[in-house]
Amino acid sequence: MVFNSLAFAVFLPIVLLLYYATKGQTQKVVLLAAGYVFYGVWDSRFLFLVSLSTVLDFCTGLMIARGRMTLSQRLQATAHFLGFGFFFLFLDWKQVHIEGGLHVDWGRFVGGHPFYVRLFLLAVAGVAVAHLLYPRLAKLPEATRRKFFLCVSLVGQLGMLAVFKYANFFVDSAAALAGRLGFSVTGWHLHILLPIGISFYTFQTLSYVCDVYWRKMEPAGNLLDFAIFVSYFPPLVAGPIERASHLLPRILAPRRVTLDHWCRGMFLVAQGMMKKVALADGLAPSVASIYNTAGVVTGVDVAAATLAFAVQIYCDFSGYSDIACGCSLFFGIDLLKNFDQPYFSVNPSEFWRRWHISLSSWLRDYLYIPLGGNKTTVGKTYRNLMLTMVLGGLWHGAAWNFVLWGFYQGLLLVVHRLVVGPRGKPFTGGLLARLPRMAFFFIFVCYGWLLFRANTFGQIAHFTHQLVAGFGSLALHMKKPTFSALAALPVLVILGVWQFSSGNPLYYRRAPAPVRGLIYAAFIFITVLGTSNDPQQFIYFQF
Amino acid sequence: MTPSSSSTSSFEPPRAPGDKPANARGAAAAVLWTVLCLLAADLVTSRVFRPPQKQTVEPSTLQRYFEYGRSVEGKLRLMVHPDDASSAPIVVAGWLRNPEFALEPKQASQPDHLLIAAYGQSFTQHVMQNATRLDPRIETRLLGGPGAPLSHSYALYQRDRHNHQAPVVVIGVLASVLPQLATLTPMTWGFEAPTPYMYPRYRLVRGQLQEQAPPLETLDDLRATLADPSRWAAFRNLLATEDAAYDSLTFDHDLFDRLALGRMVRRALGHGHQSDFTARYHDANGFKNQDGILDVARALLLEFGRTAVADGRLPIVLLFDDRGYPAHLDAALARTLDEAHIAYVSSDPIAPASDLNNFIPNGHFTPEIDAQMARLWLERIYQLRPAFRPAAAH
Repeated sequence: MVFNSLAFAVFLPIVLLLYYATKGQTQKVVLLAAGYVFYGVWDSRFLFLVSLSTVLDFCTGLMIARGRMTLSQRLQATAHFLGFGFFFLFLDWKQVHIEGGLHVDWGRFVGGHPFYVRLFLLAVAGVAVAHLLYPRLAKLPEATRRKFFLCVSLVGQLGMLAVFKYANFFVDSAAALAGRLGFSVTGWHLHILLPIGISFYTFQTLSYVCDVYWRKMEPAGNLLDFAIFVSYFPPLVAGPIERASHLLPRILAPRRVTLDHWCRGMFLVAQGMMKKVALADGLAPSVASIYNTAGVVTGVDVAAATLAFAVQIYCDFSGYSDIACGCSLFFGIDLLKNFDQPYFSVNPSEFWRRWHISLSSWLRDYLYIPLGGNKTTVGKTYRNLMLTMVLGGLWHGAAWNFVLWGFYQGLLLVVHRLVVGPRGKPFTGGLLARLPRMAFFFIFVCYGWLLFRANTFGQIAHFTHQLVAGFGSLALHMKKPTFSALAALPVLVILGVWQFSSGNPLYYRRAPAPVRGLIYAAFIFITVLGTSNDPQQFIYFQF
Repeated sequence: MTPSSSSTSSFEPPRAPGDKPANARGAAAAVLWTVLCLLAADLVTSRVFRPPQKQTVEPSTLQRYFEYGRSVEGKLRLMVHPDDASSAPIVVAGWLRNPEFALEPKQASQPDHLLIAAYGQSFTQHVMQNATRLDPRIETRLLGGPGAPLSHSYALYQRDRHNHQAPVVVIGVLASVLPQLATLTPMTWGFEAPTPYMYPRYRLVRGQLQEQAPPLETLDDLRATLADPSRWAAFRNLLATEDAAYDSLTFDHDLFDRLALGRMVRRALGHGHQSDFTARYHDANGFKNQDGILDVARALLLEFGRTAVADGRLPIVLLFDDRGYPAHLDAALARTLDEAHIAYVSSDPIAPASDLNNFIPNGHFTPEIDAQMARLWLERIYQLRPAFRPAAAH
């Protein structure tokens, strides 16, 4: 289910009604069920993966911290995992049709697909082995046990990512290399779908296990609480990547929803909708008209399309984050901040403190610092920076251009560190003084987006060449942006400058009611203009 | 591993001095002002971008933009006037019984000239116009309608068969309107700028083509139907049952027509409906034989070829794979044409639909592509009628 759909417009009020009408455990069940419905609408089979991720880290968290699980906890985990396996693998819900009355092909509904039946039986066997091994594993020495279960979690979570997201990338790359060397490698490509948002919820659960391992937090003792943490629907498929230390306490504590939550939430949802529906979707055809064409492209085309993509990807992703954070506020839960006006940055270091903050801070805390961070030799610091950014690039997608983009970002950070030194001071000048630096650095940001958006290495080379030497003709072939995008852009710029100048994320609240009304009306009016744009999937869903 | 220095910040913003939590009064005032601003914006938009009163005056881009979402019925009532001169020019076009068709030439003006009877849409017209420029001995009898689907072109061809002496007949097939074989009029699938002409719906019944005649064949029929509520209701009911693209939300006039925002919302919903309609018959891999549209298309072309040859004419088919349909038309129809030895010229080899540079913003091919296509078509004519080849080209 996507935020900018009619289905979500029906789904959210129903969930909110149920949420407000209940409390305590029932309220938690509502949240959990909402998460599963929200995710299961794409493909109910992937709920089995969510269950695997949930149960694996619930169990490993407890075994790392306490070395034991109560019988009730083990039964809960078993019932959850096998229940999901039975309902979403063993039963084939595609055989149920509700158009014109309920029709079920019973022959295929139960155990209709041999592969999924085998997978379900494998899950049953896995659970049986886990139960058999449990007494022995619980008796392991503490240090060994902690490391063992950390490894189980890492192998399990990263294994899922490796199979579903990266297997074909490495297989295809190896096959291509072998082909160049004269060997023919075929039949290794896996015909699997990439589960939506897998990178997001995998990183979320990984952070939980690491925090428990590092004794930064106590493990969740109740599967219901932990399952909500994994499948809480607003950030489930495109972030922000939540931390257990941040989200779990908000799930455990009784939540109180105030008018303040609603006001802030409405602003974020309205702003996010305008960014996504009017701007990102309004610019997508313009960008595609250059990046998806096999025809003649001039330097002006590349520059214009890349600039448009810079706006598109920011509005698409930060729009999703705004809507996610806004919706979450309706449930009384604050999510992590994911964007802080990244295009106001004057250097790469500042950019990564403002862009996709929940990922960059995750990479910092769970990769860069464990690698040694900057508390090591200069050479190793640069190595750590490069490695973190390259892996960050690969996180975005299984393609070489994402690796190149990560390498490029790492290179920018290294060069910046070489120029300003390890203790570079943040720029403190006013907006006007900042503007030339912002513009200069924005050129580098945009070139990064060219690497990110390009479809092939050949296109990167061609577009780069056109940017350097392709301005002989000033002809622009790019499709004109839609009216909604042209209307939304000035509104976004004005509000952005206002927010940056005020230094207050709630800048709009000090404005008089007519001005606030004008802002909301602009959001709504422009979003409605944008509803006739061709809806595009959120770019970050594919990650 | 070393413990991390996790320091993520919550979205909970630090309150600046003087910031107070929202209160009911402030929130109510903001809601009230939002509603007022929206009403004002709607009013201003509707006033400033009101379409011209005279239907013969071309509206501006923004006037058109805010009118796209008006219902088909609403647009028809604005566009169709008692006489053709004061009606919008678009409503006159494409009718099966169109008095203007009588003005088209019936035979070549000179003995060494070749009259071509062509049926199609603007794509076909552009190629024919270029052909006449490239070889002035070519004369054309052009019958068609804006964005005409194959069923419209075929119906015109059949109705026109005995009205002329053209030795060559051409039918133009446009990929993006192939699914419209399951419809009766562009009003239902082109709701943003509806052209009200109608055409038959063809079905294959036990291998035989059956024609369901359109309820309206002239603009006067439409005028009479619009003026009579019971006839209009019956017309809508017919579309609802026989036209696969009909959607009452985009077709029927209602309160949404009065509001700029309402029209935009209708436009968005209409786009969703249109996408659903197209998706039933076409996806990234090509056309699907939903409702037997491919069987019908093949049968129509075979019948076109058979009857033309029986009439002693040379049939030629033009296949236009327009934007978003890379070689899909060729994949669907070329084999049938090859097997039946019906000559055809396809746009795909010279202007792949995957290259957006082959198109101008309104979706047509660039003039250069039209000229190339005409050259290719002429070459085909010279091959099939060697005697007509110009002396210099021998």
